[in-house]
Amino acid sequence: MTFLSKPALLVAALALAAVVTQADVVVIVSAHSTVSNLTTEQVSDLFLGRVAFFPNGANAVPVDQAEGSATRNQFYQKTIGKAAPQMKAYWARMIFTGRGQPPVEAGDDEAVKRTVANHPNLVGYIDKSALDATVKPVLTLH
Amino acid sequence: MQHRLAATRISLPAPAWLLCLLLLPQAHADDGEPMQRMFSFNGFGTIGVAHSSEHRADYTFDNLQPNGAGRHSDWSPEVDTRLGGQLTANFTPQWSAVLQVVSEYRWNGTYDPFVSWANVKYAFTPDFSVRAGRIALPSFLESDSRRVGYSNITARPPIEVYRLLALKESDGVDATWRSHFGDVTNSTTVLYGRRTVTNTRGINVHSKHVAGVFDTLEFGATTLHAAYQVRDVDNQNPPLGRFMSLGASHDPGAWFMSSEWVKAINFDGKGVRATRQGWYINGGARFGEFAPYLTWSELLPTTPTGTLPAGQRTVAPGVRWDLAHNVDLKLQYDMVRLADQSYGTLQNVKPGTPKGGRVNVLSVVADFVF
Repeated sequence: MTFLSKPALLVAALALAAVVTQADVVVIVSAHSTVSNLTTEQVSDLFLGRVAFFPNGANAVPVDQAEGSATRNQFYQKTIGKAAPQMKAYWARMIFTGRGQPPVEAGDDEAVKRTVANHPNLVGYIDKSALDATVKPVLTLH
Repeated sequence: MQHRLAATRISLPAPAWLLCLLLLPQAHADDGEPMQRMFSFNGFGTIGVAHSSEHRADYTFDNLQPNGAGRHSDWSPEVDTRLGGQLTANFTPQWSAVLQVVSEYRWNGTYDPFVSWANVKYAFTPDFSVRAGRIALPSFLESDSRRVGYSNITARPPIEVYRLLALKESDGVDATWRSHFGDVTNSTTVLYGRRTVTNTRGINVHSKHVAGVFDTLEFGATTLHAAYQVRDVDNQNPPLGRFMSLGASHDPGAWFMSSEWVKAINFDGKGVRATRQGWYINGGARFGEFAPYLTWSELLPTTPTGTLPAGQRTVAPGVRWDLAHNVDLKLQYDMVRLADQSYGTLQNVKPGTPKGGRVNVLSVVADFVF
């Protein structure tokens, strides 16, 4: 550590912080979907199991990233404002009262993108850097 | 008819139920779309101890627990400890079933497991469904999840409010409609059923014609809840029990609050009408893994009777610590003020104990889900 000056360390830490905070999460649907944009409230309701339709009336099925994924934690923090334990508590309440089950987990950015690309009724979220033409961003979470 | 059918179903022993579920054909997706697993098993539990400063009476969660903290146990595991397991089956997008078995401290002083949920659900659409079987009553804001400690902030729901209805589930049918207005989701449930509850004297109290309407409105981080229910109870004269509640909660993440008011109107065996009201307000904030909170709750008997539990007020600070994946630890200190000339909700009071006064209860509980 001694070969790095204090200012250099500071710059490195700031750069790292910038990278971490700049990682935008995008909510995606298939490129074939007719849905073009969603609000944060609409996305929250879909992922809380309150609403099972897109605003245009088409069936909507949310897919999660794997538990513990950084993208997943950011997604819930930026939409619903809850950390992983609070989301777990929410779903415990839903499961043990027979009212619903959490979204199916599809894996990481690439796996979610692949799955969503092939099914127009799915809605998922990925890190913005993983975006490509197979899926359509409908909401960007900063 | 459907009601009778449900009653027959739930009288099957649990293994028969499981066998029926497993023999049904498996649903599968041909196109590789991610689907809910056909069967999932989840569990929840709480390990807790409560210590009361009053050694001449017991502090219990409700009047279905024969003993509690204080006179019976110095450090009582009875008040909060439980274990539950649930099998959920998703046969098709329309058909699903739930079976939940719970072991907790019961009227006869045992932890014998019992079936707390056993119902089959048919969803005509994602927004309209019917259920038949044993269904938890959504009488309170958190009543259908009151046993799942992990899903709640406090060590236990405020006893001044939640003990006003001992009936926790009903065997029968219900139907739920969900409607959407912009970003508002409203769910209305109507329910009809019956249920027998055994009290601590070993007497079976039969509730028949349990009918209720329950409404939950969700808007972003806000939830509003209202309930009204009536039932025929055979240990009352006239055999009529009425219950109503209003509740609200707001939980945007960084902080949270909830409040509830309930009113229960019952009669005793001699025809004396007893109206009781309870309310609480709870609030707190989250600092990383820690969520300190404060609850103020009160039980007000609005008709004086000699035999029914009288009033009390509790101020309870506490903290929830999400210490590990799927595990929390809670520390709560209930400062209970008994109404003058009453023992409040205390049970098994030793003769000669002065009425009124204060009782402090310290609770340490760990909740988990799996």
